[in-house]
Amino acid sequence: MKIPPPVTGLLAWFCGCCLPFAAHADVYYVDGKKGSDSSDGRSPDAEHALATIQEAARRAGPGDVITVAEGVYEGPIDLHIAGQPDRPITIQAASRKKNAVIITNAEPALRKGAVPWTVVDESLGLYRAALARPTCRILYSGVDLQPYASLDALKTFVTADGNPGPRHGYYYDEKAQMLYVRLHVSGKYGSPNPSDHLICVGPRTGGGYAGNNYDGPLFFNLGLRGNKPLHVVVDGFTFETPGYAGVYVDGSDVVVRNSWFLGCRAGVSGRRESADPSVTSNRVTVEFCDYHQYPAYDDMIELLELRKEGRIPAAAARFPLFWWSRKGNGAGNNNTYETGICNLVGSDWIVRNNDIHDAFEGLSTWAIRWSKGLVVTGNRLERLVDNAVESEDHAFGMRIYGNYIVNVVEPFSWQPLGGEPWPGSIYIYDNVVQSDLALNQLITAVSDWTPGWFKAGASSQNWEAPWNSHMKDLPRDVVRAPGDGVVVFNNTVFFPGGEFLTRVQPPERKFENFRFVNNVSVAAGFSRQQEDLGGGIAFSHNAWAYAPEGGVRGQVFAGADGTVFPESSSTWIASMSQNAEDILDGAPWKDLPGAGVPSATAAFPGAADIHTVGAGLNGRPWKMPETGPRE
Amino acid sequence: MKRAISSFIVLPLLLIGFGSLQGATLLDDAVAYWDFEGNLDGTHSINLTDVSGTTAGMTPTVVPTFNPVSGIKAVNAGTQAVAFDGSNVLKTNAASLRIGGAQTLWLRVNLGSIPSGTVAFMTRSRPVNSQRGISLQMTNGHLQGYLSADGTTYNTQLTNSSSYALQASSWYDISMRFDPSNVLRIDLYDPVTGTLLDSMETTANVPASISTSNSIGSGYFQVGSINNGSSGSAYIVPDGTLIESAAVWNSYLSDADVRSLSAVPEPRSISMLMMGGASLAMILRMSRCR
Repeated sequence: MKIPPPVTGLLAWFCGCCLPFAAHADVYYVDGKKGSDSSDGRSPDAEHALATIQEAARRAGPGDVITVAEGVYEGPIDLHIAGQPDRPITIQAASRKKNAVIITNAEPALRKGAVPWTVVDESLGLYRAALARPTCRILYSGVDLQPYASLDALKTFVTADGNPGPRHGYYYDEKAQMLYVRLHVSGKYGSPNPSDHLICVGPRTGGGYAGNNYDGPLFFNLGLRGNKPLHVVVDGFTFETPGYAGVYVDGSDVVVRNSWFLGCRAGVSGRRESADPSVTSNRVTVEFCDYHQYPAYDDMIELLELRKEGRIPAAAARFPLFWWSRKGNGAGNNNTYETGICNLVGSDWIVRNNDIHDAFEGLSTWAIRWSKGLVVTGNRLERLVDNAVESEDHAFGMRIYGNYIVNVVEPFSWQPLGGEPWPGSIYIYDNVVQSDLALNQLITAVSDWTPGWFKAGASSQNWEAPWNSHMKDLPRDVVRAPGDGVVVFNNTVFFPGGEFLTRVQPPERKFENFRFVNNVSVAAGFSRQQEDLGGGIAFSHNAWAYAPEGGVRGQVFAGADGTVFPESSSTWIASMSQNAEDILDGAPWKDLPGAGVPSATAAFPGAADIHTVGAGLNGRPWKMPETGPRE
Repeated sequence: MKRAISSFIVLPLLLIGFGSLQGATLLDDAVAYWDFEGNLDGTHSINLTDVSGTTAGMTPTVVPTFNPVSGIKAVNAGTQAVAFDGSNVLKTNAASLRIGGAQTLWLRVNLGSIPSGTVAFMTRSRPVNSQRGISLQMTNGHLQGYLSADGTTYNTQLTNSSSYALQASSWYDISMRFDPSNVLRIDLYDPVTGTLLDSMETTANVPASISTSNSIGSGYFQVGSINNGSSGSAYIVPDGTLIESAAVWNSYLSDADVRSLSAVPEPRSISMLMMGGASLAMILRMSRCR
């Protein structure tokens, strides 16, 4: 259709006159120390800056920017704002450095050092201080304290299930309103006297079995409210000891970037989990952030080493992983650390370029259980006690690619407990996994259990647990991943001393619609169960090398047209201590022929044409992802 | 509250007591505010009556007891509180408290004990069909909120067994806010430290309005119990309970407003007092120059 000249002229006039106004964006400055909410907020100086983020948000409209000066801002900060698709409201820290602009839910008097600490038992390093409200997270100078279920448990460092726990922790006596702490006596985290530390004591956690359901504003440091498209960008803050999440996204269309999550059970949380995407928080991006529960991993290593030396007993446990106190075995499930950087993920979330480290999980079932279209890419997941990324119970359309995964006990998990629908389609590709031989050997020596880099299976709970009544009459002999299934291709996994598979379903239950293609696995064995040949999993064009010793089932993993390298284990192990990019650059599998993976075309459009093996698709060099907050 | 301000300290107070004056403005905006400073009188002539809670129709009236209070550091702290002995309750039938839309209930309380079962703090309701309205309660130490749109059922039930468990002999500021079709929220503050102890809310089944029926339950507003019709009252606050002040607004107060009611002023520094004195001297000097 041809537009007549008068209309064209009118359009030109409209664009010339109106668009400059439409594109206009205001900047509001907040300075908690010098500002005043009666100021205009239009300049960062003391005369003009506002005092609170809330007041700036009240004034801001689509396209506006709120810049927050360095300082400590008490949460919860509960905002009801919304931008527009092309004009988001940006809330940004004036400095993205760690601890520069802090939003905290820590109990104010304790954080300011205004509450005295009293020695209860000097020989134990046991101190106490008055605390009026319950807590689920405590940091001392940034170091996370393990919760214990009773004062006696804290005195003896024995967890709720009778196993030895980390050598520092806390107990809160709710009736007496008294907080007891024991800091680490070694000095590696500083003085054992809490008076010498910045003590951050968060509030109680959220609702539900794992405390991860939103039940009030103490749940978050920063809440973005309104179950609708919000179009908000949050940039550069340090979030500290909320009830659960640093940022709570009640609606959709939010970006959280360049932020630090300290003492947060999760970094970013959606509003709820559901199979119905109309009630979940959707299109949320979490990028270039740093999330940790330091020293969760170091506590695990310390316990393993103490046990190896015979200096702590292990309870007569049914479960060999006695160091899992932070899973919830320490002081109850409501305090579980099995969370990860996100919580209650809805549809089309992106988690990219983050540093996720020194935590129990990277992305756990509490995060992704009903997620749809989740993308996990370009992250560095390091020093995690359990899994880097889980897909249970019902994740749909998950893509995990381009991540660097270092010293994670069991990097990937497909372990539903909720019955059908099983997780799928799940695409795992172009990742590099690198674990130390010493880690897997230490775990194996102490617990008589060997980690596997892929944990998979549907246990009998899927049919028998009371929450799975819909499964009682369904067959149990085959577990078929829906959609494209579980497609694992072109990953490079250095996992010396460990296994490929941790099977969590009985051998007679077969996998169906699981494919492993073009992967490189350097591991000690296929599976801890000697009879396990991965029943039902399709393997082809993989490369296998034994480290540290040979076996016979590497050929199973290599599969059709696959390769089992005959090199000695010492050669492999030595090379695995190098920089990952260097290893990949000169890798002996570089020239091995790969195969197309048409079943992954929905995730990676070129999948059908893949012709190489290992990370770095089709000869493109694999690059270490850029991760963490950018200053 | 406690606004008797001597004229000779007006200026320093303007400088250093701004927070309390803000609180006064907020309380002035209330539909009713009771400071319980030796009487049950409320603002806007909405007065409460102390009655026997165990008698049908809640008569006869009883002579209220007021106890001195101390230790509360919040800006609007008073010097007296109305006392409860486990049998008396406060009531009014003021029509202006039959609010169907947005509203906020607030009180400052110190419980004599934490009994098993339920205690009602502020209610305009009766737990029977057609007479339900709004109720702020506590069960086994955990705060609860209830709303009814039609008087028949409690559409909105805000409960959380993992919420903060209230303790006996401690001061608490409790607010419950209703935003129609949106949220029912309870906030719990410590008026000794100004700390937010807990905050809970629900957005499930929040009605567009609350029943304002003049039936006996949803007509009477009560402090310290819930109407139980012919049986008098139920859920009476336990013996030894003190309520230092209470208020009702016909709006959903902001988070900052609720926080300001419990705010504890920073210790006044010598420099601020000096600044106040210097300002006074400057004004006196200017007035002499005229």
